[in-house]
Parts: sequence; C-alpha cells; structure tokens
Amino acid sequence: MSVLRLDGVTKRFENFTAVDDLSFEVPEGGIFGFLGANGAGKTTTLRMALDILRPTHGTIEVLGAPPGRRGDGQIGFLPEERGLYRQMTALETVIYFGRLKGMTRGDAERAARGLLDRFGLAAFTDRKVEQLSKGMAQKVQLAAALVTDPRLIILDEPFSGLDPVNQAVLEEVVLARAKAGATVVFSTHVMQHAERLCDRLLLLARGKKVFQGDQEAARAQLPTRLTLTARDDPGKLPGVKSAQALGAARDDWTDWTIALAPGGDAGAVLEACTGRGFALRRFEIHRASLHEVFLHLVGDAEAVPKAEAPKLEVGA
Amino acid sequence: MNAKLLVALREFRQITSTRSFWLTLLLVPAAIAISQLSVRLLQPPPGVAVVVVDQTGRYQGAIQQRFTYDRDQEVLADLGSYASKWKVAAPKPEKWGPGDVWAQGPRLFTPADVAAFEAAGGLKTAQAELARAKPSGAPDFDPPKPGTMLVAPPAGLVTDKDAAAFGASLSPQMKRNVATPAGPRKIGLGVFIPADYGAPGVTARFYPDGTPRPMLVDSVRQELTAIQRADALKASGIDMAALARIQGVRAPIDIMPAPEGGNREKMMLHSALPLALAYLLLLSIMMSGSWMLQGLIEERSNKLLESVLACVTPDDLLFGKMIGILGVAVLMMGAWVGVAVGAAFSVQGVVADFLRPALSSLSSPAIVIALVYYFLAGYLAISVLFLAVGVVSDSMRDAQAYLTPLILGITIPFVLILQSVLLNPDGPLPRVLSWVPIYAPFAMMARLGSGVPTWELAGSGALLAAFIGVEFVLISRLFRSSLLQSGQSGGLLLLFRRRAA
Repeated sequence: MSVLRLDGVTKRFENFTAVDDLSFEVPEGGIFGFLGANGAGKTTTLRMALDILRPTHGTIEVLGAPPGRRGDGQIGFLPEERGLYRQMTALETVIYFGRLKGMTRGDAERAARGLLDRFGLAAFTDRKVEQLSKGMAQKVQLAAALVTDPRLIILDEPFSGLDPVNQAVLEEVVLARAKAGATVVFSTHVMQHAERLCDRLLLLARGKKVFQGDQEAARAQLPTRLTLTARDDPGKLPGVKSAQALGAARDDWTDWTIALAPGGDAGAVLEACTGRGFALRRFEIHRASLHEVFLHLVGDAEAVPKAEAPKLEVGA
Repeated sequence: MNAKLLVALREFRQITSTRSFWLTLLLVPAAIAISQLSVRLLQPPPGVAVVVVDQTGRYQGAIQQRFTYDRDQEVLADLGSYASKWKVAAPKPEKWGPGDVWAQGPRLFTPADVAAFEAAGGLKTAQAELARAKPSGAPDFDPPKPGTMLVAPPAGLVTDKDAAAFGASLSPQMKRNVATPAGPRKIGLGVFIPADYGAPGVTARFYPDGTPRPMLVDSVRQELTAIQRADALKASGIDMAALARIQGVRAPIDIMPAPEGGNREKMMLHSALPLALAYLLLLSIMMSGSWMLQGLIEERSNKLLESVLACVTPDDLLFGKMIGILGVAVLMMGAWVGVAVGAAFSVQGVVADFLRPALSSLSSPAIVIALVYYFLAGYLAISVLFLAVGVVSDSMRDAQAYLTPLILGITIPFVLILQSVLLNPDGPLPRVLSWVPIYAPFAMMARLGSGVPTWELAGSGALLAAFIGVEFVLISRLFRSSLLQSGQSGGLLLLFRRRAA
C-alpha cells in the first residue's frame, strides 16, 4: 500500500510551473528521500500533499484519501520555514499542535512531555519559546510534528540550521520512527543525509522527476570506476568501456583508471583477469556517490538560462 | 475541541496576555475614577458668609430677602430635576399642592412660583411631600448646599463707627471661619452702609475677600439701588402706593414643562449609553484590530503559518481568529459595562447621577438586542479590514501604509456622526450613514437613544449582515492566496489572480 501517491500533478503560479506532471508513489514504511536543488519543486509538492496548496492538474492521495486535514494526527509535518509562537512555552506549543491534530489535552501533554524529555528539553518545558536557543526551538517544532505519533512524517529540509550534534539527534529520531513502522518522507538537497537515511529516493529537477528508485539503482546511473595496477593495458578486457593510464610505468607496472560499460560488473572484470592470467597488483572498485549521481542527473537540468528562471519563490 | 475554537482560544489568550490589553481594559474604570475625582476637585467652593452692617436699618432686610429668593430658585431648580428624573410627579399631578411648583419638572420659576413655594413651607414641606410620593428605589432628595448666607456681625467687628474702622476690624475676621446654620464659613464679603447713606456723595463700602464674586456684589447692589430708586421716586412726588402696584406688575405667563421627547437634557441622558457604546466600539476596534494585525504579522514573519496550516484549513484559521477577537471584544465590553453598572450603583455623586438614568436606555429589550447586534456586527465588519491589512503586509511598517487611510476613513466619519447626532439625531448625515455598512454600527448605536424606526433598524441590520458575508468570502480568498507569500509585493489584485490560478 502506498501512503502517498501523485498522479500527473502539475502546479503553476502564473507563468511559472513549479511542479510539472509529477507522478510517483511512496510505499508504506521506510524513509523516502525527496531530493532536488533549491527551487526544484520539493516544497511545493509537499505543500500540495498537505493540502496547503492545491494542484493545477493531477490527483494526489495521502493515506488512501485526497489531501486534507484529517484531524486524526496521522500526518506529522515539519516545514522548511520554521517558527513558533514566541510567547507560548515549549510545552504549550507542542500541546497546542497536538490538540489541533485532534488529541485530548491530557494525551497531548503526556506525549509532549515525553518528546521534550527525549530531545533534552525537560528542563525547558515552561520556558517561553522566545527564551530558547534556535536549536532548542527547532527541537520543539520537531516535537510538535511528532506529538501525535504519526503514520506519515513529512520533513521539509529538516537538517537545515541544525548543528552536527542536533543533526545526529534528528537522524536518530527519524531512524527510530521508521523502525517503529512510520513512513518518513523528507526533502533535502544535502546528499550525505539522504545517503545515510533513505531507502528510496526521488530526484526532482525544475519540477520534473528525473529519477526514482533505491540507492543501488541511483548509483547505477553512473558507471562504476576501477583503479588497477597492471603490466598490460586493461582496455581490452570484457565489460571495460575505457581505460586511462595514470602516469608512467614503474618497474613495468602502470596505474590505470577504468570506466565500466553501463551495466558492467567489476566482479566479471576480476574474473576475466584471473582467467586470462592478466597480472594485477591492485584492484579497487569506486562506486558513484549519491552526490555524484545528483550532480549527474540534476546538474544539467538545473543549468537553465537566467531568463527562464522563476521570478517568484512561490511555494517552491 | 474544534480547530476553530482552539485557534480562537490561542488568539484570545495571546491578546489578553498583553500589557496593552489590560491597560485598555482599565480605561473605563480609570475614566470613571477620574470623573469622580475631577467632580470633587472641580466642585465650586462652598458658599460664603456675608456680613452687612446697615447703620440706616433700611437695607439689610431687602438683602436678606434677596438671598432667600436666590436660594429658593436653586432649591426649586434641583427639586424640578429630581422630580423629572425619578418621575415623582406621575401619575396624578393634580394631587400636588399649590406650593409644589417643582413637581412638574425643571422649568423657569417665576417670583410668583417662589412666593407660592415659600408660602407653602419651602424646602421642609417639599421634602415631606417627596417622602410621601417618591417611588421606591429613588434616593432621598439632597438639597443644594446653601450658597451665600447673611450672618450677624461676629464679635470684635466694629459696627458703630465709620467704614474705615469696620474695614480694619473685618480684615482679621476674614481669615477665619464664622458659624452659620450650614456650618463654618469664611466671610466672603463685608458691606458697610453708613448712617447717612443716601445723602449725596455718601457710599456704601464693599469689602471682598479677594475672590471675585461679581454676581454677589451685583445682587446686593441691586437691592440698594431698588430702595434708593424708590426714595428718589417718592421725593419726586410719585404716589408710593401706586408705585408699589406698578412695580408689582408682571406680564402674566405660564411656563409649562417641555413635551415628552422634546426635553433635550432627557434625550441626551437617554442617548448617553448608546453614544458611549459607539465610542467604546470605535476604541475597542482600533485596539483589538491592531492586536490582531500584530498577531497575524508575527505569524507570517515568524514563518509559523505553514505549521499551523498543516493542521487547520485557512478558513478554520481565519474564523478562529475572528472568534477569538470577538471574545476579546465581548470581554472588554462586558468589563466596561459591568464597571459602569457597578459604579452607577456603588458610588455617589455626579457620575452615579449620570450613569443611573443613562442605564435606563437598556430597559427596552429591543434596544439591548439592537445595541448588542450592532456592536458585534460592527466589530466583525471592521476587524475583517484590519485582518486584510495583516494578510497583505509582511511587517508593521508595511501595514502602516494601509492602516493610516483605514483609521482615518473610520474615525473621521465617526466624529461627524457623533457631532451630527448630538445636534440632531435624525439629521441627514446619521441617517445616510446608517445605510453604509462600515459606518452603520456607529450611526445606529448613536441614534438608538433617540429612537430609530423599526424598518430602518431591520433594513440597515440586514444590509450590514450581507456586507459581512461578502467580506468573509473575500477575506477568505485573500487569506488562502496570500498566507504563504512573504516578501513579495504585487498588491491585492495580484493576490486575487494567484488565488484564481
């Protein structure tokens, strides 16, 4: 069952298309990374999923129903642009959002205290938000998003503005929620977070989907590279697309960098070397990082002429 | 709890936790306290004693009579107001005696009226009549404090020598009180009338205490003049009996009480509460509109709207805010009216005397319903405009550009309405503005005290309700289309176009 499904969704703001015919599904469970450069349409898509914005075309289903405020707390949302009522206390803030999502005051308070305690804010529950540090306030907002123990957690750039310690805390929370059965959808343009957390990925560029799949499939978008130290030219081995010598030979041994053909398997190359008596002193496999995949898939698409760049940042 | 109510409760708490809210709430009690205080501070000084040394023995009696006459006029005026305010004369004025000239309400009292009043026993008889006739709940009549009182020359005052000796002995006496039937008083004026007063070149000497009292001086002088004029006429050979008859002639007139509804003082008293409510409506709208505006701008500039909108619809947020601000309005009005009613029945003096009859305008359920309706509807109609300013502004500085014309556009017509209603409640301006929804609450509330035709109330009320409905549709669109747009100019039309897109 999918917890989020978009079918041919387009969102236009006047002459600017923020999301263009986007279709994808997020299956239940796990962590789904929603990746793209700034202005790629991530936030607009998430806002449409939450019914904060309405699509120009297409249909959206969230937890099997059209988007809308269900009032049952099954969706938790942490927006990219964060802010809280400065005069409310940390505890009251989390309780307020819990109650807006349909919790009773007693349940909301119990859950709020538990979350604030877990985030290291037990001593600050009665402190007004304006008296908290930025990091503390962000944790209060995260607690407000999680207070209902939601089935679907949507986090829009959750790591932005957090120091490394708090990023680690957040990563731990995200992993724990996913392990407990919740589905986490989070948008980011920082590939390291996606690499560490995501089971599945969707890459957006200029409002269009450019990739969807797991990390393996993402890395397969770029050829695997090998570094060999051999006496002979490895360019003629099966599955090798190209081979380039790295400097001059030393004692008859030369360093080579090899690009495999699409779909090429490093193991098959090693097997061929062994079978043919192809002498090797080094055999290293370099798999493409998500960052490289991102640059490869998104970089070209984002390099748009300035005249076409959107003038408005509306919901994008 | 319903999302709208949760939003409303938060809004209500946020506003009522501000210092400016409590300062505003204290305005009415402070105004009443200041009024009480100022009434006391601005009270005229108590009357003074007058010492007359009349070596001729001819003038003092006339001066005493004049003081008694002036005092009777004051008492009659107060008795007339009291009778009118507490409806003492109704329903059978024919049962009143000939000396009860005050029983028909306040009017000009002629010397004949005063004479009849005195002949019937004066204040003592009037108080006995009132004890019999006043309705239950009416306070006892509190007669005005005696003003000027003629007192016998205190011990030590030189009365049998000349004016200079009199003046010299009076000077120290003026620095202390003398005993009078109304309690200790200062001597405000000493008058020395020498034995040969009336002879050419001889003057009566007036010794004031330094405070100008032209009316007192003039009253005494008039009595002296009257006697000297009579002497002169007698010396001219005019028959004194005929003169007395001629001087006694008065053009016969009857001064009747003002007709029902034509009594301006009464009308103003009846309109006082509705007018005050109209003013408080303006005041509370300006204050709470500004609080709501600040709250909305804070939500937008703090970028917390997206979190809220993930939980509630824009309409829930909008209506929640309106309910919250309405709750603030009801709390403010409740507190203000409660304080006014409490003051009316717990304090004494001018403020209570004003408030108690003013509250009588609330005796009609129709007026109460109309007042509450126009207050709440006016509140909603104008608060929506403040909300619209908040929706299209990213900061208070942005909002100022819209606020100034908005506030001027409301307050200037309000002042004109108030002035027009005070001059003529049925004048063209209040009547026309009763049909302009933004101004109808002020115009109607201001006019309610003097009576508004039912068809006009119903029509204007319906128009106002329809206007609020249209306002809500438009603000709802504006709200949804602009909530997440910050830092983008373009104005209302652009926002509506985005909404359409």
